[in-house]
Amino acid sequence: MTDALRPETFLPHNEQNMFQYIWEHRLDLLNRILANGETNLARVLGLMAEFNRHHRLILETCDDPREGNGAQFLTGRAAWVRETPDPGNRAMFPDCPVTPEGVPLYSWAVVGGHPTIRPSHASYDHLAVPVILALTRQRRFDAFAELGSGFGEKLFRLYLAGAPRDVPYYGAELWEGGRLMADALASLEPGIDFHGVTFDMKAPDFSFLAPHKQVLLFSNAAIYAVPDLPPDFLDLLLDTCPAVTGVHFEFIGYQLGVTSAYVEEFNRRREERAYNRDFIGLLRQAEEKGRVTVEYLQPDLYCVSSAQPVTVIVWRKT
Amino acid sequence: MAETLDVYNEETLYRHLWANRLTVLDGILASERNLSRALAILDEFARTYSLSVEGVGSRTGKDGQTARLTGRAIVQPNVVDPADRDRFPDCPLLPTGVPAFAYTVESGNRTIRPFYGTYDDVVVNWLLEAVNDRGYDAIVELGSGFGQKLFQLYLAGGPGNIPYFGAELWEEGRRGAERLAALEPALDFRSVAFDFNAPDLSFLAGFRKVLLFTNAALCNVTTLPGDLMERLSAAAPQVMGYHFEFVGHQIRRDVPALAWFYRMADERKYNTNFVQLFLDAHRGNRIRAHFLAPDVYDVSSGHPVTVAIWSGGTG
Repeated sequence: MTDALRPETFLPHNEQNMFQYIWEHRLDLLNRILANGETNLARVLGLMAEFNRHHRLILETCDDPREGNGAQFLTGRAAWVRETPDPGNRAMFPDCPVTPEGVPLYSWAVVGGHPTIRPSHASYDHLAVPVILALTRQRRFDAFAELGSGFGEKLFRLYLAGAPRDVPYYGAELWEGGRLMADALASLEPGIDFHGVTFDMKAPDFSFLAPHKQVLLFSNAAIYAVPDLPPDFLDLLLDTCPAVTGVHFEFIGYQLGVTSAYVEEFNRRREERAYNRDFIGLLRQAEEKGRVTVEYLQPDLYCVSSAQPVTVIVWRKT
Repeated sequence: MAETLDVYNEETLYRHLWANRLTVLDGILASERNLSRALAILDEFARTYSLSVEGVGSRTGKDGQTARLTGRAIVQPNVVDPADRDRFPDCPLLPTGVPAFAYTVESGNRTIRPFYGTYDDVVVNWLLEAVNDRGYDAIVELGSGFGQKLFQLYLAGGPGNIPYFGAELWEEGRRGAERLAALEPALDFRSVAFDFNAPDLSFLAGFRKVLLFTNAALCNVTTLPGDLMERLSAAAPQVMGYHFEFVGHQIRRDVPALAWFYRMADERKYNTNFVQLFLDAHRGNRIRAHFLAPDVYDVSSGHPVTVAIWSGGTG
């Protein structure tokens, strides 16, 4: 546990409060890394990723301390618990060789709907970056924006992968903790023109994009977490931007009727957590109105950790 | 001007190749001052283009005696994985125009991976597991070229307070590594000359616990010296060695999915004796072998990487 029990920090156990505490503890982790004297953006991202590969954040909960009525509260305390690498894979591959460092050699992965294996040391976590980078080589944009950008990791990795330097990078994020982290990370790299903006998917304000003529806007594992977007979500964006290309990497293949025996765990989780239900529908409506052209739509292209199938979408304002 | 032409052989070819690679790097460094970006753009160039050296005459004469090299660079765009399109005629294309999936071989089994899931990160992620919080006081890459893997290890969160040695035969490779390292003053990078045929690790004198690794390097030396493992092991009181190399054909040659690799290894005279040296040194108690797995993963369509891990040292 990271700090003393403070009853005033007790908050009802709901998604809002859970994310608030999660972001607080992520920010605390970043500050500890920076306090060690780290000043290189890539290294700080690497150290955070390395820590996250080996640790899971556990938030402490308790019964209502006043009423004893069975309601769950978050105490505000948390612990980073060290995990063995890929423990689930040991159950799936009991005969899988293990490296001297204790890592199973292979992990389970679903690619194109097919069960495959991949080296455990290979990650599909950032596959969005080379795809977006390749698009920036094919078309000229005057702004990059990520919706639900968290601490801006994908934007920063895009920049570090060699994406254009002479355009602003907008990190649009709801949670203050994420924006604070992104600002702190951006301050490490004077070459990036980064702007953190407050953005709520449920009440979207795209005015920060108004000055730009050719926007590349993307999301990565962000829209899926909003059960229902406002019906005018895309209209608001399209009304703001003279030209915009949207690129999405989201866990929403089920909206296209895709089912797979290999993603049962994901489907259970989706039903429990109320994943997004309407983004594909909104996109189809905008297409029918002639406002966008869907250039690419491929459900469940690949999986990131724990069988999370990623659907890739590219569209352009007509 | 014929008098300036070099006879075609491995020595002259590599010298010209490295000179041309250095020219490419200098072009990138003319506008990039961030090490991560410079490395990424260098990788992007290598993915997008093939760089070769202009030759004249014929290589069909015995030992290529009639061929000459002008030294001029030939840069040609890479055709994106046409073999994969043949294997997967129904494979969807990504919005970037490349196939969504690439063919690969893991542990001898045919499978697929996302096109951009290139496994380029395997070596660095593996070494991160191996090096962090284990008290090493130096990291060494043998056959390090421009030092990309060393730099990527540092940038991914490798130890920040110990020296990284890039040990490379070719002067242009060492110069390129030094120019890249100059972008990151906090990195203690040291460039040293190193020849697998006459391995001298005296630059490690005074270091106590060293991690050394190779990545697609010793596979290019057809026959390594018989005492290679002993020399590596004698580099410091405690030495841990990691090798990521195309040497699986020395362990098995019966995997149908790797038939193409076996032919290439023969034609290109890939190394033939590393695995034997590794096993002999273990059996003779000169090193302790911890791990040897053939063809663990595949990089760039048919290059299966074998991983060997050992420990040794004088202490």
